[in-house]
Amino acid sequence: MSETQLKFCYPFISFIDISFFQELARLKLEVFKLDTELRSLYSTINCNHRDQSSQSGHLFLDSQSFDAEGSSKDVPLSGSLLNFNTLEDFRDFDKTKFLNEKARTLFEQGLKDPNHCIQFFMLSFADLKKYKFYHWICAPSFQMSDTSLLVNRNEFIRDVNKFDMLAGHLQNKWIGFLDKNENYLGDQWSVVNDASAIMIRDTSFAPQTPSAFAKNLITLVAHQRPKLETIRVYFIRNESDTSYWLRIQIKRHEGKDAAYLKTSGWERNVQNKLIPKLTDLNSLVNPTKLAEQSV
Amino acid sequence: MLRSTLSSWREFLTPVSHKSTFQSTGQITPEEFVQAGEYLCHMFPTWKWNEVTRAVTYRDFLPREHQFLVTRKVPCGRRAEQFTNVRDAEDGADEDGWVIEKGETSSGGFETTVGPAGPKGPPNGNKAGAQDIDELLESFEIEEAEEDSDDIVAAAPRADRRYYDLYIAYSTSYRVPKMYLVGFQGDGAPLTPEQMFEDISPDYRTKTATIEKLPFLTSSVTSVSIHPCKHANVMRVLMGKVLQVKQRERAARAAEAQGVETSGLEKTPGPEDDWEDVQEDLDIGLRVDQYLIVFLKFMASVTPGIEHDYTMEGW
Repeated sequence: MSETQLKFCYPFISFIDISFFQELARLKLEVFKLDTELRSLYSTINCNHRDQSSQSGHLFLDSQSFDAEGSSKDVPLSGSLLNFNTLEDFRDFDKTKFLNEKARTLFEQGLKDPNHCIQFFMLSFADLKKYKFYHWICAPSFQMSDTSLLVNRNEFIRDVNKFDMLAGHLQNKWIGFLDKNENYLGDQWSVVNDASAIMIRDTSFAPQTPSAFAKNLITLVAHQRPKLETIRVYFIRNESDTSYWLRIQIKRHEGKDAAYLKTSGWERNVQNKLIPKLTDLNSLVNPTKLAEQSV
Repeated sequence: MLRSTLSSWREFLTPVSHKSTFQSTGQITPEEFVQAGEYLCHMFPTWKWNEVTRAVTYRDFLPREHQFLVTRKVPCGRRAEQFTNVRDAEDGADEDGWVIEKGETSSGGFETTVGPAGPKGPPNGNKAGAQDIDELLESFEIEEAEEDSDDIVAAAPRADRRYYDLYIAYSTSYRVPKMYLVGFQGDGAPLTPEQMFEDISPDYRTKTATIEKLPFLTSSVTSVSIHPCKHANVMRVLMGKVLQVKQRERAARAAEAQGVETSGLEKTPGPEDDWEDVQEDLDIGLRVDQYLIVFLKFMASVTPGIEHDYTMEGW
């Protein structure tokens, strides 16, 4: 197989439950008030469905997402919410800068524990008088600007026992390191120099196309092992028959300027545009509207 | 609203019966609901029981871990009209007989347009307002450096695709399962009740579909529920049909006595095939386990666009 650039999928599609907006409205009135600090969110990516039309797992936010007490068996994903007081603040906020800063933070967190380089961020504005909610979610993914990632071999994981073994070690983790006999070494940087393969949890459904989260992890591995040229990566999905491995070539371009992080990650709307989403909850929560519709 | 409130009182007041009568009445007891739910989760792993969290309003005649069943983000590719009434949907005749008959079109009525359900303005908002909002959102757009995301395979969600969270709870007043639907746009935003009604088949839309809050969650989530007043009767008839088919098959099988194993797999798939294997060792035919599977077949006819059976692709 010839070398091609490694492509990625957006790591999730986000679904916002009405109860999320309602809880946000309550918190805004009772807790946040005019405060605009980052607030923690707790969610999961559901990769269990086999909907052929989706390209990636579903991130689900509801009223429970403000609460650390999650008990789900899906892939846990933590996030932060930045809620604005006015629509103008939301609009004028420098989102590119925000994304770059967050990517940098995740990169640095990832240098301590690779599982911590993955998070999502949400910007929101709740127009409580008009029952309108504006929000935008990003999942920062990053890569060194002087590096290209190429694929030069790909295959499905045929061996179900091996898949089970690999998947078993990835519970609640994003990454794991394997030695040359494919024994599990651990998920921390202390074992990275002994590793000859890695495995990554994959929330994408597109055939042999990993989620953009993998980019963060591979970038960190390449950073920790500056001499590394090729690496075999197992991408573990929910079912063995769609999991696969790729041999990825890490190509560093000499002479480029000092490496900075190339980032992306704002969620696109249905027209594939980079703009926020607006949800009109008038007919869902406005009491007078509800009374009109009710049977 | 009045009817919903009355029915929730009734739900609260009706005493729970534990006597099994599903074969004669089509009703089930809470114990049978749990049993049928267990079977459903086993056969269709996308269905799950509720998680035991503070978000649930518990009813004490059911175990805390078996309060309701849920399956999330079931795809829905087409609106109900597209199955039954293509002509009217196409020429955009907004006021079909059954829509007007409802007599509650004060807020613009049900939209019968089947076009892309993208992020458009509120159904009852005026055009100018919606346009303003589009322009407003456009002003947020980020100019993206081409190279920053040239490695991302962009596949925007299809605009006409929706997703439904389906909930099945036990109705004490009718002693049957009751279905609740909570819909989402392809881009993840919640659907309005009007939009959800587009996915209920017209025959049921004006009669048995009700807007109500999910009663088993502490937070208020607006859903469309399928009112269970006729469920028991329909279920009794459907279960009777299943029984007949079973008996016919058993007779045919007794006659043939061979090729049993392949017949079930190779026949054209009919609604009666899915539980065939578990059925074989039973003489009286029906087990209450299958109740919810039959119930879902029934619900699939109420919501033709929702791909209840999409899980079968994995089988």
